[in-house]
Amino acid sequence: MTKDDQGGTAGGLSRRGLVKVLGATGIAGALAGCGGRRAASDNGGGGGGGDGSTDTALTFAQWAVPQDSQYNPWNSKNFAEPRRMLWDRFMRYNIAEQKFYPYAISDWTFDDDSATLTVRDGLSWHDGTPVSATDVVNQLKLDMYTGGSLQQYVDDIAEAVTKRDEKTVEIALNQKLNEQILLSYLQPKRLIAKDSVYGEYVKRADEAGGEEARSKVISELQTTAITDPVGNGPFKFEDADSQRTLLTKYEDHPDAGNINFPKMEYLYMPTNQKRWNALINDRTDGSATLFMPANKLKQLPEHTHVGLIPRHWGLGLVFNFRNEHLAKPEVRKALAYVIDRKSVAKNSGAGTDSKLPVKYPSGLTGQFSGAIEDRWLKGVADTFEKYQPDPAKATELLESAGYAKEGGTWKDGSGAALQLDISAPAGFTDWVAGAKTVTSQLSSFGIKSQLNAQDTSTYWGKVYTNHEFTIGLQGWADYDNSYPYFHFDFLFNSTDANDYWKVPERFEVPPLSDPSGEPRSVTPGELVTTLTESSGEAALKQIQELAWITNQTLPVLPLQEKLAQTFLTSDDWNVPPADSEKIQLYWPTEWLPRTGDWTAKQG
Amino acid sequence: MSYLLRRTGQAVFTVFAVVSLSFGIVRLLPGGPADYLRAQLIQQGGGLTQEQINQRIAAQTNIATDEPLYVQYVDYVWDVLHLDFGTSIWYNEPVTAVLGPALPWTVFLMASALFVQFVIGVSLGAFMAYREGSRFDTGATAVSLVSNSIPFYVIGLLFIAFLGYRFDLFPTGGRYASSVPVGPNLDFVLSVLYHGALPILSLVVASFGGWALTMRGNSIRVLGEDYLRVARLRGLPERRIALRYVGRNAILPMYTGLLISIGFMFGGSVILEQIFAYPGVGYYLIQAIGQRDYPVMMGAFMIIAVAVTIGVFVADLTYGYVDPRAKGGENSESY
Repeated sequence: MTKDDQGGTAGGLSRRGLVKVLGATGIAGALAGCGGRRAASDNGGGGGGGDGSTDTALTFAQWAVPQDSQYNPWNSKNFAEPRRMLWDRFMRYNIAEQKFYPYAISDWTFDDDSATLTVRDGLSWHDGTPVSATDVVNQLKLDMYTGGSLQQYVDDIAEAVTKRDEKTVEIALNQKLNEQILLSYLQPKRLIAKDSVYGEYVKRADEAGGEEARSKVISELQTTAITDPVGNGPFKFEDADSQRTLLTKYEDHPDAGNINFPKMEYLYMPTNQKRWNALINDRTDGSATLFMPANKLKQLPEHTHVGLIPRHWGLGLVFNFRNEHLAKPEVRKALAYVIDRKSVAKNSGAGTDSKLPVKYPSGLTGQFSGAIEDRWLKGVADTFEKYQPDPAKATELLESAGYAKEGGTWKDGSGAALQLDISAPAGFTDWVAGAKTVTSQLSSFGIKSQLNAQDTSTYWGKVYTNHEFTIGLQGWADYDNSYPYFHFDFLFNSTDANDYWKVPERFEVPPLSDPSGEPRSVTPGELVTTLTESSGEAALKQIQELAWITNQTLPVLPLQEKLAQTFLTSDDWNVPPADSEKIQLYWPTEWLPRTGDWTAKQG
Repeated sequence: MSYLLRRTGQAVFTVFAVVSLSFGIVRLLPGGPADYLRAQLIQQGGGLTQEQINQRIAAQTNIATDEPLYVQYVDYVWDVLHLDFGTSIWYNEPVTAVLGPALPWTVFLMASALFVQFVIGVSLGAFMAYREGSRFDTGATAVSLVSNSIPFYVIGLLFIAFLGYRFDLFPTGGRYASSVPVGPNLDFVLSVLYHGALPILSLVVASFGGWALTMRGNSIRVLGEDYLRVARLRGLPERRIALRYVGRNAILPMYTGLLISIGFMFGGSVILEQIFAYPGVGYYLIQAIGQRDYPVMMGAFMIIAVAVTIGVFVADLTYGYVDPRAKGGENSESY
């Protein structure tokens, strides 16, 4: 947002606005004079200078009150959005290319039981100290101590992650690990654990005598709030008040040369509505991700571009396997034949293109790019069941499971009506809209179904985790990850699958090579574990096997894949077009300025 | 004196009753702070096991929600009596540190709004009474009725949509511009007024009509009194009659209403501050309800309860001084 119209943006005292308001009262003249002096000094003191850069601040929104925000990532409360510019991620991942690029970690090598990471040259903390291998060790260890996924691949955290020299870190793994999986775990990490701030926790956790002592240290870490962060990203923290967090460019960052604006602002906007209005009225310059319905999209100015970024994730129905009906595969499959995923996606998308109905319910993501048919299921896709709406097949399945339709309602062997209610988090309005469509379709077919939308935290914190649902709503994949391992791990080995849905360990499935053959017993959880070590053709075979098991047993019913909306503006900024592969990142607002693809237009 | 004691006792009992009721009611909300945190952790993903989630919840919720309710209640009342309002579960800071800095901003909004609406209402009402039956009176009565009938949050939403976003005349959130230095300087004061303008104005627009209609009614009643005819016959100047005879007597019955409003406006701040993203007590109360942050909720409820009680208490005790005819509550005469 340019300095000239900052009054509107930062919630700041807009001279123009104030003069307009007060003009009629006759005191405008005096104020204009006063404001004029202030504006003049602002311009003089801004970052203009002789370097050709313009006096602009890139403006985004943040959820929490800036002065209440804190920057300890292991304290899950109010870890505010400016984190995206304050710290660098380990690597950059382009979703379209499915490629990892170096960033804070400039080089990496993997062998069968270890990984070596090298810190980027010239990267320094905002207090001037160089970023070292010790900081990376701290980051990896604290992530593991607090439950990070990599901990399952090392034996002893204290011993497994070591500094080899000032710039190199080694991780000793306890098994061979697929490179794609290891990179996916490493890439999104932000390098935050500066030794002078977090080193003490790492040392104490390493040296803790037992689990209890270590837990105490970690609890202490998780309750510590840091309000004055020292980052290593291209912008450093200046201050935060009730309305705005201000960051200024860190000239010593290796990518500072790609950035031609001196400031960034994060404005306090606690609701979606405020963020929509801010984009419509040019008060923010973009948004990493935000769901905006069609009626609001229409109001956006022409220079605001909406890109779509696949989340490799989306709304699914999860089943409570303790329910006697849902424990039967015939019932789950019958539901899949009753539900029209196209209309669910349409209603849940609220007129946007952000929801795609799942074509192959198989646990695989990437339908938007054709990756499922062209890559993961190449040659076998036709074998897979698409579960297109087919009441006759649903009827056949339910009858084979001992249900009968009487008076328009399906009843079980004891004559009780088949009732399958759906519980939903009320705050997830797009999901609720989709679920309403589902209950209506089930009811029309004769399966009694009601929607119970609960307060969002009650749903997630109680109903879902205490398995007080019959059918629940949950993402059916591991979001932000494109490699299928993560999705199958979520469906068969995760806390959600084991503790909340109670997915059985074994399923009876015919072989993929002979779909009409004799069913055999399979343990998908074990197959997923094997997949961690596989690569190449062997991995592809295992992925197809797991996709087949998912397709035939439906531990969850995937309904749609989500494309996240991302917002960029081109009135004051040079940004890539919305359909460019350059924006296929989590998230463009964070990466494009770093790579020189989001620059201020010269004034 | 016994009246003062009795009245003080009533006020203390009222606050105590509100605290006790709120204590029970907030715990009847479905879910608790642990559920909220659990929900946050599950939505963040990251593959935490149930054990790890439980460990983190235990570390981050400092309230002993497992203890029997009566034990928690007795502990809480005991702490409040020692002016310890507990520690926020979400911010992990004393409740006073969370709500204390927010309180002056809410008081500023509410006091300014009340002052402006009262002044406008009283002045308008007096004029309407003097011009009773005129076109001005009819028009102003209609405007006042409309003003009194529209809830302030509807006006607030309209203001923010049009004056904030559409015409870009006012800021749409915050207490003051981030660019001005905080302190006793003109820029800061103007910025605070500028940011408070829409919230204050929405309260004023929604309430001045009520004051105006009351003032009009009171003034018309006073204008019909015999002593006014006597005053006119004595040849007193009209200005003196208007201000000393009519104005004073008409305004007196509104004194109690004004003081009670001070308390009730704190309740209104909850919605107002949310609409205008204005971090005051109401904002933190809404956040605390979402997060099931019991201590902060209790603290905010207590502020509202104490403000209403003090308003009524002061009105009761001082009315006798403002209007000597009432001579205080001891005479059991009400006005």
